[in-house]
Amino acid sequence: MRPTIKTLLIIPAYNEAENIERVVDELISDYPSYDYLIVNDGSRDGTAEICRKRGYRFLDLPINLGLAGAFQAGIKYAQRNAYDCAIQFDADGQHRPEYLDALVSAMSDNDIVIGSRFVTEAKPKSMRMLGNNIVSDMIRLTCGKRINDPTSGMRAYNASMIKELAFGPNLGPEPDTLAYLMRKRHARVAEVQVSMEERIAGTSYLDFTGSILYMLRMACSVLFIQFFR
Amino acid sequence: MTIALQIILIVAAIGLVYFVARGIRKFKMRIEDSLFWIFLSVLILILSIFPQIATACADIAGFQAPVNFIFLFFIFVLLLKCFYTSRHTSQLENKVKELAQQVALDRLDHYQRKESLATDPSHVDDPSAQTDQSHQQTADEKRSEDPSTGEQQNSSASSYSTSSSDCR
Repeated sequence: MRPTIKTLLIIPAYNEAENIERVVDELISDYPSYDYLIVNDGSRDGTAEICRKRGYRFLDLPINLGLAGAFQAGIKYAQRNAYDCAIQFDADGQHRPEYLDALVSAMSDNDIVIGSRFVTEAKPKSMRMLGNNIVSDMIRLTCGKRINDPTSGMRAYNASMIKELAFGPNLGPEPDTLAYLMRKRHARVAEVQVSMEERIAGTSYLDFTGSILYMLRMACSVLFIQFFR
Repeated sequence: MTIALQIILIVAAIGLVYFVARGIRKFKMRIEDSLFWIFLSVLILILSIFPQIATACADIAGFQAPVNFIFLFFIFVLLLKCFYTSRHTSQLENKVKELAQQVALDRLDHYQRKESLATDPSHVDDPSAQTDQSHQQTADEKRSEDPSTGEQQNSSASSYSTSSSDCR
């Protein structure tokens, strides 16, 4: 199915040598109407070499910037090439491309569309979802809108949001950016039900101390800092 | 602790928060970096509103006056912060060095490719240009697998696999 607007899939990749070919090959063969851009975030496991050898389109960051920096690099590319829509798509295979069309069609009257695991499915009240629940409550408290899956990485941004995200230090693909864009830039946000796979290989971006710092940062940013950004 | 000191501390805490907020608002400060200063101001605020905490700690540690404890405490905190800032600066220096070196290597690579094109437009792969191992390219790269939008000119100079397709 051909998307009606020019869409770019931004694929941040840090040490995803085991997953990247599987993920990108599927996009190339089954979803050729979507442009993609891998962003190699200074991987040390040969991810860049694989991309080069296979002829994938990718940005090769010379140093590691983290997810926010890598994603923003992709956003800059999207802005320079006048894309109407940019979608973050994980390199580890957790995001499923079957839902891309649904995301794109919801862009017609929204600025940001989140691929959410919990629109029609109930969110489990487990430890793993604790962070997700806390962030969701904080956003509802400060912005008045209930987002069921604020930590989902599968998000689509339209051209005006791309412009907002392209420059500046505090605009990573995180829930506090969502809150800021909703409050200060009047972004219209919608969620679309998706399902996601479990990670098959490699390690995630966040470890335990990373998770703690992440929650702290989210709390500070959503409950306090966003009011004077 | 005197009332005057408490007021000074409260004003200091509020002032600190104000400067942090201004920094973030004007894009001069990242939220991660501001977290320390926000927590420090909250700490100062708590100590100034509840001076009993400082008094209790001072007694335990054997200080003559609570304010001495506050001095030492904040000196330790600043020392730690200073140490972490040094560490952070070292990392940044390293990153800048990496970037500079990479830019220089890429420039040489780019220049050598241009040269090889200028001298012989039909010759595609110049082995002498591939000094950096990470820029090794197989001669039969599959261009058809790249779903570019049809634009032949790829403006992104960092994506070497597609920029070489312009040469072919």
